[in-house]
Amino acid sequence: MKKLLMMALLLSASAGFAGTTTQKWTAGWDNFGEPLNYTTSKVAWSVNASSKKLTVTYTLVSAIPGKLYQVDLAFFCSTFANTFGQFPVQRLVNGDCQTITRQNVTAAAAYVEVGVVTTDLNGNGVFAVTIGPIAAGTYNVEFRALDGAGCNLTGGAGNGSDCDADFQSPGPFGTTTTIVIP
Amino acid sequence: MKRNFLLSAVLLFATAHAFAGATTQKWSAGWDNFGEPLNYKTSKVTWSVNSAKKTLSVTFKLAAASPNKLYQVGINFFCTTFPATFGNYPVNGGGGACNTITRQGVTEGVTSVEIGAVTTDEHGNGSFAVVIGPIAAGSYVLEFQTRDSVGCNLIGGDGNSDCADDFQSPGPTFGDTTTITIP
Repeated sequence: MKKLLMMALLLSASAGFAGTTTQKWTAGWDNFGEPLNYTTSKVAWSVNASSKKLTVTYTLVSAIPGKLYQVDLAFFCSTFANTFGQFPVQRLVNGDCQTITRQNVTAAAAYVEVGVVTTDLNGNGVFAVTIGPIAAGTYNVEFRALDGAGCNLTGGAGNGSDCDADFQSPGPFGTTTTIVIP
Repeated sequence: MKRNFLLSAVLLFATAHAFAGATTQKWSAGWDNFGEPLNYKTSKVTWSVNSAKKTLSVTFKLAAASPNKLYQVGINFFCTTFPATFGNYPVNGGGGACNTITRQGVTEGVTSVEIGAVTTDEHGNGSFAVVIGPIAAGSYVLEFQTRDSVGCNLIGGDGNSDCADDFQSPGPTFGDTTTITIP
């Protein structure tokens, strides 16, 4: 009986939590000279299918010490909803994603700003966020770290050069990760 | 069987010794701004010390603050002198003699470290967790603080134009402190 209960618990847990995917950062898509240890820096994400939540952990190693890097998700899309989980979606015009050209690739995108990595005196920092519940769908996304904090948010540097992307994952521009929310 | 039991007991004791229980405390308004929205009942700061690793874990949680806003979070130490670093974070001003400031009618010597940012969602909710360390042994008298924007003493925000404190913990008055001991 005990064994059966354990098996049932394990089964329900594995159905709810897909495994964590870990991927590397690459430079850009705007700035290509920002320091980073590309070997140990990473983005890790996982989907909880039962709660329809996406958990993302952004890790930067050996970036600039004492610096704010806003982190987000860039969706490659033609149209997009106004919200992604509990976060508003940026750069939509009447629901249409806006076309930009980076690294000689032209694509339409929309953005969700979810947090900030603050680096310590070694240039290391981590930020984790859980987003959701998210509408079911297949999302083609790049994770980004921007060159400051305040882009499309209140309380920072505003919408200037801090909106430039220092790091993208997976990259280069337009090379995406597909996240499925069932 | 007996040996297993003994081993488990030793392991449990060691773990309990290394991890002190988490302390949860509320935010208060101020000490600079007193009108920033916040659900003071559900917002909180939670901290714990790992005495084996000499690290301090802190989770800053804001609920029903201004939506889609960046709040810088840090620690304000009450001191006469202070080292140049606190764990893996630089101390503002590079350490040395602490600066005297007056808030809410109270004058104290202080210094601070900036350790992260809370980004709120469309409901004004957000959290940030950090592990600081290893930290030099000592008793630290402090308040946790939330500033009205990001960039104070850091690169990449709006600079030092708005370092004002929206929330303090414990407060409610500047100088109402928490003592954290690193063994």
